[in-house]
Amino acid sequence: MTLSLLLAMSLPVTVFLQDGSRIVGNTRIAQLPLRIGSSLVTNLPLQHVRTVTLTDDGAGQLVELGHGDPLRGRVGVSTFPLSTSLGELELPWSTVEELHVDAPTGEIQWLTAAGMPGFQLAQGGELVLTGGRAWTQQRFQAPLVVECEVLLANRVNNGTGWLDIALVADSARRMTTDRPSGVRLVYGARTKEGVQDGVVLRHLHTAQDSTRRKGEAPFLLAPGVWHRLRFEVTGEGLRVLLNGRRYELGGVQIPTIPVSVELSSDQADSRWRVRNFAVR
Amino acid sequence: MKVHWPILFLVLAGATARAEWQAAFSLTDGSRIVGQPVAKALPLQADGVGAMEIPWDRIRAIQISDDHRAASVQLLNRDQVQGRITGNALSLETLFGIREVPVSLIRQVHFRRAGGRDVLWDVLPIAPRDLDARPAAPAKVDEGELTLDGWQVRSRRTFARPVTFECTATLQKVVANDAALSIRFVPVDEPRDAVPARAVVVMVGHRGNGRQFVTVSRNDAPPAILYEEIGRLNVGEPYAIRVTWTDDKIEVGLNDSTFVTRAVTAWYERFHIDLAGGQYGDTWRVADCVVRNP
Repeated sequence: MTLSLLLAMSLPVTVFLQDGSRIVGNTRIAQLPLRIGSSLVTNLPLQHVRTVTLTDDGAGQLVELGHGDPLRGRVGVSTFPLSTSLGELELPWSTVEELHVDAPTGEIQWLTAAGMPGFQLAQGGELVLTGGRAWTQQRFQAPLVVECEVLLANRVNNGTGWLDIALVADSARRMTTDRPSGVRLVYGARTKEGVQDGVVLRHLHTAQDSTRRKGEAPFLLAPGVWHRLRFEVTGEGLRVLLNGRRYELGGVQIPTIPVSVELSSDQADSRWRVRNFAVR
Repeated sequence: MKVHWPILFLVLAGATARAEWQAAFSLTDGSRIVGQPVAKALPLQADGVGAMEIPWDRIRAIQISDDHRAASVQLLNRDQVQGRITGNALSLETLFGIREVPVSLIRQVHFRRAGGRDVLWDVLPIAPRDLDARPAAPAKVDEGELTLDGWQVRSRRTFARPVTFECTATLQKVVANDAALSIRFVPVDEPRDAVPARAVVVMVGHRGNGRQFVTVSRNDAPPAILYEEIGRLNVGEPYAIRVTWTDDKIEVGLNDSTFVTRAVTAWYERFHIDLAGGQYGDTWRVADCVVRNP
């Protein structure tokens, strides 16, 4: 089986080999053939792939697509070409343990109100929020999935803070506090059980505080660590996956018109960083 | 230059088969190339000594200066030689063929026994117990070297028995009377953001009663004490830890000593390996983490 090459495109990737080698480079591969089951072969566009991981039994690969769905199969290539600082390499695919595609899936343009402090677009596309607010220039049609990694750089001692990811329908509502659907990461919230960290899912005036479920270990929004967040808005409701934990809010009417995605935080003392932001 | 000459001569004379060792070259672009040097020895223009060739299998690590003019070579016996690598590139036999690695691209080189698989770590979002007691800095993972001060890390991949985990752990700082490093075998379905409820835990440390210990436990059951002796762990001293888990026993190696227990069993089909250290305000540096399947 041959690899399809698209000369105009070069994707940054990191390849981990079974001996512990980690090779950073660019590949001109456009599609990765994946055999699913005994006969079905699909050519996956590499730009829509996040990771390819050798399964634990070594019999195939687990492909994580850009929108988060897993796909199991067997990659049908014998070598993987890579342009590196050591020159052009042909890596034997049998030695590859993991492949990370570093390119984001879609470029997001951010807008913010003129003169509004508390929002910075840092190098590498990372966002820094210290009490500011910004929203995507692009509009998206639900059902949609928002994915990003969030890091709370500092917790205010004995204080509270939050980061909101919300869907907003039009510019007039951006300066209001009313957000039709959203998820809030909060730390230091005062609850019946005491001061806790948590996840709050909101839809209009319906809110579900998913701070802690019975029998579950306390949720802690640990500072200084990247938390992987996936926020799904579907006909079944709102769903958040945070570090693999699931929070859901049903009975939700999803927006029928295109919406922007807004990021905001509450105060300048809390510093939030967001990276690898993508909407699908 | 810190060289003990008699020891260095012994080192230079005592080369063994290269195939038992492999080198990991960390490059300036973030790559890490594992392989075996093609030449028998590292050519070095040593400060104040002149040209010398150091057998690769006697080297623990090489650190290259930012301007790539100076190299600091640490030998297995922890002696150090400073100098400049002769030549523009080093030839390396890799999984993808023999490659010339320009010296200008090299940041550092580490050596280890061949046959093991590196462990890639993720920092878990589990903070130290008392957030206000210390800076909220997570565990650091730098070129496979971990700094644990209350935070926890988890292997990205999963493993199955029989398995051997090896590392070199150094207790860097002690605040309270207790200090401990935990090596946990955690079944795959345990959440990432809470201390695992189910795990087989090997713990190495010392207690406030002035005793050092090695214990193995499962979940919250009382631990099996494999070793206990008067004395505390030495701060700054690297301890070679090796844990082998087979179907019927757990074997823990601490430097040259080996302890075995059959009292703790668990039947996890696949598991991650977690490391947790610094729960008592102590700080651990853990390096050379390797998994082998015996």
